[in-house]
Amino acid sequence: MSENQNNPLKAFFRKPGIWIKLPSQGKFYHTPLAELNAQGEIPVFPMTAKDEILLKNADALLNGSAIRHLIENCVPCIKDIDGIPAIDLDAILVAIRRATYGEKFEMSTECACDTKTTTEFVVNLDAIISSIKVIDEIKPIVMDDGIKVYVHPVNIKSLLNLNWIQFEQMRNLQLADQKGMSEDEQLKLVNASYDILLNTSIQSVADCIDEVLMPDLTVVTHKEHIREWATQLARPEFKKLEENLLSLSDLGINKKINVQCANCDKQYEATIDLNPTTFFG
Amino acid sequence: MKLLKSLEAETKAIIEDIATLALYSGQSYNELWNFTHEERLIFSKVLQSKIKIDKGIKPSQELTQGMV
Repeated sequence: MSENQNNPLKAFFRKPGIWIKLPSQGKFYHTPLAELNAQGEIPVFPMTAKDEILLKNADALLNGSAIRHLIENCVPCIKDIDGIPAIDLDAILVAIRRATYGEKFEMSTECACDTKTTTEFVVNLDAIISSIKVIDEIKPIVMDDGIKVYVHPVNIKSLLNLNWIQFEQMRNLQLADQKGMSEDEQLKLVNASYDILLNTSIQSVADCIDEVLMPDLTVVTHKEHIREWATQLARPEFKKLEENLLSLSDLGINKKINVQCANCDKQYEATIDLNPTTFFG
Repeated sequence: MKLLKSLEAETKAIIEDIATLALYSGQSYNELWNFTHEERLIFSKVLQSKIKIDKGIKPSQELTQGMV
């Protein structure tokens, strides 16, 4: 029996604010999800003031600890935070916002028309949650040379790592500019940053590949061989892999909203920005 | 920089919110950090009603917009 079940104060624990269906339905996790109900839903708890304040800490947001801590506290049935597939992350963030601040989410967008009019509107988060799609299978990516690549969605660890490295490289370049480095030195730094970003990006893509099926039906599952192959891919081929993996993140929830410009009356599509810095603001 | 300033301002607003609730309610400051946003709103509303009642103001005696 777990500690929670023995605790006489259990009845007074924080109550789940909402139950949601995860797009992955618990697939792709290394540790199985606890507390899945008969409908395949998991409980999501509202944020406490402690959680809210952590989301206001720029360092914690940048290094990913704010997101990890938030999910740990608000979605306790997920034990393997780093292994959460990105297709579930958006659904989880929307559910935490809904459980904490209610169903209305105010946002504004700018129309591409000449006046760049800003239109403000309210998004109903319940409607977004009810439209969460379950991902039954991920089709293999077919490369131009007939190779089939079987992948799983990128996970939070890779995503946060990539974000952090991008930020670090940008900061290094800014510092170099401020310190008045010579053009040659700056160029060296830019090249080094580019290499680091490229290698991290290749590693993230390679990590998502489960197996590669060659035209002669040979299957390659050796991680190091797959990484080496990904490193040697031509730019368009690698981009195809990368874009296919990134597009998986959009399968779970519909973040597109139709907006009518208040000035030119033109309808355009806006995307809900789930960046935690602004989404929970 | 603008974002950092806004994050700092929001942090201060939450701390002020919790400190106010703790001082006026007599509840533990640490305990209030475990309250959710909705709980804080309800707690604050109930606290305001209590303060008014303690001061002898009945809900029917409150000056509302309709009376102005």
